[in-house]
Amino acid sequence: MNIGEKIKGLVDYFRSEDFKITLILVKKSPLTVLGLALTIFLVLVAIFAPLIAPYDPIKQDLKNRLQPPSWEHPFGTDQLGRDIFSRVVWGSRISLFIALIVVAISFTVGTTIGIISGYFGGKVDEVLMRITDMFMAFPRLVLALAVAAALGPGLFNTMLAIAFVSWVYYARLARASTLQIREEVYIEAARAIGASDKRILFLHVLPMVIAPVVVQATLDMGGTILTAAGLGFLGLGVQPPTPEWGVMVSEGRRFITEQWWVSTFPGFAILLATLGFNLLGDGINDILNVRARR
Amino acid sequence: MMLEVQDLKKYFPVRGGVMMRVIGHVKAVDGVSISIEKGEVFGLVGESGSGKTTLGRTVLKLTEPTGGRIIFDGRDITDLSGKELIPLRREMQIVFQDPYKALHPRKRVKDIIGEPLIIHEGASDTEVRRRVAEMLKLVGLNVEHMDRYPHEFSGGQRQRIVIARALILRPKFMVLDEPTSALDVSVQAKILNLLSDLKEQFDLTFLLISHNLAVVQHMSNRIGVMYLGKLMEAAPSQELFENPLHPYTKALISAIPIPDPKLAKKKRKMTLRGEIPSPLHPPSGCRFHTRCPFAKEICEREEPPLREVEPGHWVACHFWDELREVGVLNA
Repeated sequence: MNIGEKIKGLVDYFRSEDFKITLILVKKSPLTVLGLALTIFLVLVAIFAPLIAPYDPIKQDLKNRLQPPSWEHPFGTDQLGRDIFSRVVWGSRISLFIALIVVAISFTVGTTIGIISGYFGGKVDEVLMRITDMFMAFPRLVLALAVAAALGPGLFNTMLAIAFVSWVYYARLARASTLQIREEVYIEAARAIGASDKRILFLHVLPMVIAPVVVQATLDMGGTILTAAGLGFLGLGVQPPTPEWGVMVSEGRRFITEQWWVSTFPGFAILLATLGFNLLGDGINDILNVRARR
Repeated sequence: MMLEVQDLKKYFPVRGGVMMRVIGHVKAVDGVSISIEKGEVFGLVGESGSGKTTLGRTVLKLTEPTGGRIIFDGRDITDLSGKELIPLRREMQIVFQDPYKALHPRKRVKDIIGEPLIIHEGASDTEVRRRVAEMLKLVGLNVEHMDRYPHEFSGGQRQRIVIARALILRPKFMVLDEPTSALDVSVQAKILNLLSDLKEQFDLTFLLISHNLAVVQHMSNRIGVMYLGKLMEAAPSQELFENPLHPYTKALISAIPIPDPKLAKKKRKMTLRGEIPSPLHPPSGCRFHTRCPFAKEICEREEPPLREVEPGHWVACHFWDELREVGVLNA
């Protein structure tokens, strides 16, 4: 299929009845709208960070350290005199980048392993699922901490560590759906026309599995931002002076009683970003469920 | 000979207990032999659970047989697996019972019908479009239907799509697994006629599986009657209806409704008691003895062999000769 056809298909979909129903369902659920708004807001802030942020997020200004919020510094300044508002704005880029990459990796790896496991069953399934059990036996953050500690801190390693512990959830979900779908008559029909296992897996099973996994991915964006911030806070994630929210909360800890703003504003950013993605994910989940009932 | 099935068996293991050990087998098909000539329509009838659908799937190697041999067009295909089967798929196809389940809900008609071309011939998009268009016309659909999704079609139209997909590679042999039973009565005849026309046009051989005797009578040259995984009787179509020998066949034929109430009164009904027993624990001896109105002691002990009692007429019953005159009167 060429690109022109794909675009046409997409346009067709946006004009279709199906899409209208989706829109109505979205409008009916204010929390989904809120989630969507927060997510869009976050994305816009990340894209236009250089235009929004009034100061350089890394440049120190020791004369102006630990200033309370004012017109000049809406969120105040930190212990090195950096403008916290600018750092929070730039931080959205880091968090969003981590979340996107991590979710993309774990989505791809997890879904592939999940559909293979569910489709072939038997020993393959047994082995793969016991591996996921091992991963799931540990709390996600603890395992990510261990991996991050082993790899050493840094942006890339943070992403690797989180993806390493996240794929199992996608694998489980994709496997569960695959178990149902492989029994469908249209899968048998695909076998009857001589389709190879690879073809059946990726062209017949995958399109039917993807919907619940996408919901998981949306929900996971929030979780990933939180985990990345957690690693940053504990010093195993992104390193200063990069304006990462977790790192910023951690740095403000020492001043929390006197200079509350240092930790509070990046903390709020984490809260809003996570909340936004979670509400959106829940909303998408509800909408898909309603449509599944039709 | 298009297809020869010798003593075919398909057992499904049943697992239970804590260790999920095999605790028994469902003998869905338990030693069935049939042969289908080129250009013939062989009808296979039986109640739900008689194993006729499993037989159809096993013959196509969509499930692995437990025992017996399958000889397709002179080749033994019993032990072929994986990639070796792919070229075979060009030659043997299947039409499924439920067209609402047999089509991938996220694929366009063009992609559904054209997929075999891509798999077997690596056909280009233009080639696929051309041949799908040709196929759509052949099964009585419009070329404009090509870019639609299955949910935009009625049951009958969907079954036409299923047929088009099965036919696009020009197979020699097709299993029709209850091709009309999921459809509205008004559409059933149309689909059957379409299948008959296509059979003539492309010189096809059919294995027609149905629980509906009227459908099978309408289309088949020969008919086999299955009960609990065994063949009970097999005969040329007309012979079977005029001269059924097995009590089970008699019961099935007497269950066909007759549209004329006057004639219906004349017909002596032979109704079966109860349900088909579980194939996990089939009855001893003749499998039909638990429901047979003529069962004697020997039926419980000894399994009657399938014998050719008249040329081309096979029956598995101890008392077929004594029961010749009993049962149905043809209306």
